[in-house]
Parts: sequence; C-alpha cells; structure tokens
Amino acid sequence: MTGRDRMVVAVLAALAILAAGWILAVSPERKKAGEVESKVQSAQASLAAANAKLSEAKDAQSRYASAYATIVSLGEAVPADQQVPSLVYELDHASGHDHVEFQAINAGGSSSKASLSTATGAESSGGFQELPFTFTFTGSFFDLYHLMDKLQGFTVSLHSGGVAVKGRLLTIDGMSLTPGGSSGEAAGGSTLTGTVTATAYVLPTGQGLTAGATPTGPAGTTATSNSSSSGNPSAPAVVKAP
Amino acid sequence: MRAVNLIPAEQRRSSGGAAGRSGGIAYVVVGLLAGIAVLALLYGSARHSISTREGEAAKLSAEAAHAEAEAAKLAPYTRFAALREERLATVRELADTRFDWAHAMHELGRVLPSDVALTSMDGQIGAAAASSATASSTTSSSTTTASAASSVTSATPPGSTPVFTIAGCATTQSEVALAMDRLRLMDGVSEVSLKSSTKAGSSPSGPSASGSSCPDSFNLEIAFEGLPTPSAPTGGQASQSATTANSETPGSAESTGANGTVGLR
Repeated sequence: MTGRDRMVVAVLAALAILAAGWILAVSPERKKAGEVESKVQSAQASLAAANAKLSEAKDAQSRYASAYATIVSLGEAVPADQQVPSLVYELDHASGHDHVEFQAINAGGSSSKASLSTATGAESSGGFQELPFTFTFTGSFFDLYHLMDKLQGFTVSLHSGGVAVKGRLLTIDGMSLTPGGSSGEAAGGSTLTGTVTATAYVLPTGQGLTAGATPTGPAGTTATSNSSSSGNPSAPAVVKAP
Repeated sequence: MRAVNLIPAEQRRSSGGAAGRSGGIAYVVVGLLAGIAVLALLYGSARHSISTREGEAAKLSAEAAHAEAEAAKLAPYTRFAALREERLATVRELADTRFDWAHAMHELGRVLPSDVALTSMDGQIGAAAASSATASSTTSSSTTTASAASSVTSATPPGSTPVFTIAGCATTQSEVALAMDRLRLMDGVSEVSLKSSTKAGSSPSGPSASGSSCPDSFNLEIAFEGLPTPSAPTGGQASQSATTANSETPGSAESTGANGTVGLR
C-alpha cells in the first residue's frame, strides 16, 4: 500500500466517522429540535387564541349590563310571546295622538273581526316568528300619513348601527285608503278609512326574552335565573281603558 | 558537471511535500477532530434548544390551558353577547328592509296637482324581483308569507316592489296626464302606468253614474323601486345598545313616543 493509498483510506475513514456522527447523533437531535420548535409555535398559537377568547369573554363580561339592557329593550320590539294587549295599547295611543280613530285590529290578516285575545297563526320564519295583523283606522289623509310614520317609527335602525326602540317592530305589507269613516260618514268628506296589513314579530319559541339571563349574570353563571320565556318588562301588557 | 543529491530519497525534507513524513495522515486526523468538534457543537446546541423549547412549550401549553379554562368560565357572557348581536342585527335588518309608507304618502300629497283628487288608494308590497327573494306578497285579503331563505326573513324582503294603485278624479284628461308626470317625480318611483281614464258620461259605470261630480275618473299604478338590501352597520358601531340609541338624533325629524323615548326618522 503506497502512501497515497493510505491517505485516501484515512480520508474516507474520517468522512465515514463524521457522516456516522451526523446521521446517528446530530441529525436526529436537530430533527427533534425542529419538532419541538413547531410544537412551541403551535403552543404559542393556542395561547394567542385562548388569550383572544379570554379577552373577548372578559369584554363580554364587562359589557354584560349593557347587553342585558339591550336585550330587554329589544324585547319591546320583538317580545318573547305575542303581547297583543301591549300592541293594541301602542296602536291606540299612537292613533289618539294623531286624531285618528283606531277602529279594528284583526289577527292573522283576515278581514273578519276576530277576538284580540289570540293572535293565531304565527308563521315561523328564518329568525323570528311572524304575526300578521290587519288594522283599520279612520282619519284624514295627513293624519293617516302621520300615523304610518309612527307605526314604522316604533322601531327604527340608526346610522350608528344601533336600534331605537319605543314600541313593537312592525313591517307594513300593504295599505288601502278608501273614502268615508266607519260611522256612516259619506264618501266625499275628508275622512278616510285606512286598512293596514302589517306583520309583527315574536322571538323563536323556547328562546326566551333573555335566554335565562338575569340582571346579575347570564344563565350558567348564577344560581338564580328567574327570567323566563314569558314576560316583557318594558312593554306593559295592558289595554287602555275606554 | 552535474550535481548529485546524496541524501536518500525517503529522508529528504521535501520528499512528502506538505504531507510530511506521515504522508498527510496528521491532517486527516486534525480534520477529523475538527469535524467531530463541530458535530459535538451542533449536537449540544440541538440538545440545548430541545430542552429549552420543550420547557417553553410546556409553559405555553399550561398558560393556554389556563386561559381556556378562564374563558370557559366566562363562556355564558360570550354567548349572551352573541345573542345580543344576533338579535340586534336581525331587528336592524327587518327595520331596514321596510318600505317607508309615510314618506311615500308624503310624496304623493306633495306632487299631486291641486285639481286632482284621490278617491281610493291601495298599496301592496309586490313579490321580490330577485330570484333569491322567496317571499311573495299577495292580495289584501291574504297574508304575506315568507320562507326562511335567509337568516332573517322579512315580511317585505329586499327586492320586493311596492306598488300603489290609485283611483281619482281630475278636471280634464290633460290633468290626468299632468298627474302622471308629477307622480314620476315621487321619490323612489320607477314607473307610473295608466290603467284607465274615463270622462264623465262616456261610461255608464263611471263615477258620474253614481251621482258624484267627477269630470274625469282615472286609475293609475305607481311602481316603486325594489326594497333595498340592508347595509351593514359601520364598523364596531353595531355594538351600540338599543337603549343608548334612543338618545341619538341622526334623523331630520323627531317625535316623542308613547313612553317618552325619542323616535327618529
């Protein structure tokens, strides 16, 4: 074996030793380090998500009183049950202010004079349930115009993104004006009979006004959850005395 | 005379070149040692990194678990806030997709010529023109139904077309034409079409036949533009509560409501 051959063998042996060291010791550790690094990154992401969730939850907790007030206020626009008496009261009150005679309210949109105690036929829609009604008013054109303004003004959305609630949310589907009042007034006078078909809304069955929440906390955080699916604290269920 | 080197070839200083006597094996050994040192350094670095990062990962996981647990405790608040947002958005959408009947009546009274009188008016929300709108409005004797095609189903879904059918009296046929022209000036009107215009005496069933003084009776149909799709509230503003919103005054007119709150148009 010449010196050159020995040199080649030595270099190859050294390279083999280094390669074996790399393959058997260093490379697995580096691979493991990479795995741990990805594990750390995953943990960081989990922590960030958890912190965001916690922050959101704390924010929701700090704004609970406001949210509760909003829910209750929206319950005036869309109550948990039909709340027909309060609707009648609101209509009568609004029409009285505008010199309009509130003649009739028919549940279900029918033309017959049905009992007001039951507004039947609530139709389920995507979110809220629909309650169709037909209202009949008498008054002048401009009085009826003011009344329509009020009916739709019970609940209006604001440019700021909020909602101003001072009564039931009503969607007017149709309206007809015909001459003459209900008391036999001759057609040709200034009095018109306005028949309005409208839709009121009710919360989905079983959801409840506050979903079991109380002023002190939502359902699941306090032992007391006396708020239920019935009752609307901001909409009095009374009928104005004649 | 030629010089002759008498030193044996294997003992000459420059016999192996840079390899020296060992024939370069020494360099190989040094290189091997250096390589092993580098490998050891890399190995140590990796081990250190592993131990450090594993501790860090464990710490982060523990923190995440703690935060998750805290968030889980407050989950009812989050759900309640979501419920509030959902209801607020639903009410907003329903309110925004309504047709402004009062404004239409106001416009009608504003544009009609003084010589023209209305005898009746019938307004209905027609079916949505868009294929996505699935609700349909029917005649006045039936109720409007709407299917649950979207998250919120309004009785008057976006795209529905309000239509007014009016009957009235005018002094002349020209007044009817003028009335049609004027009605086109109404805000949001897309089309005004004439159904009939009959001069008194020309038809036995006309208004004049019933004894009223109506020189020219007419029937018109006024079609409005489709109801708009509700716009999303401005960023972050939707969280304004309905209660506080009562005190805002973005509208042009205001009226005091039955319970003392301020309604805005």
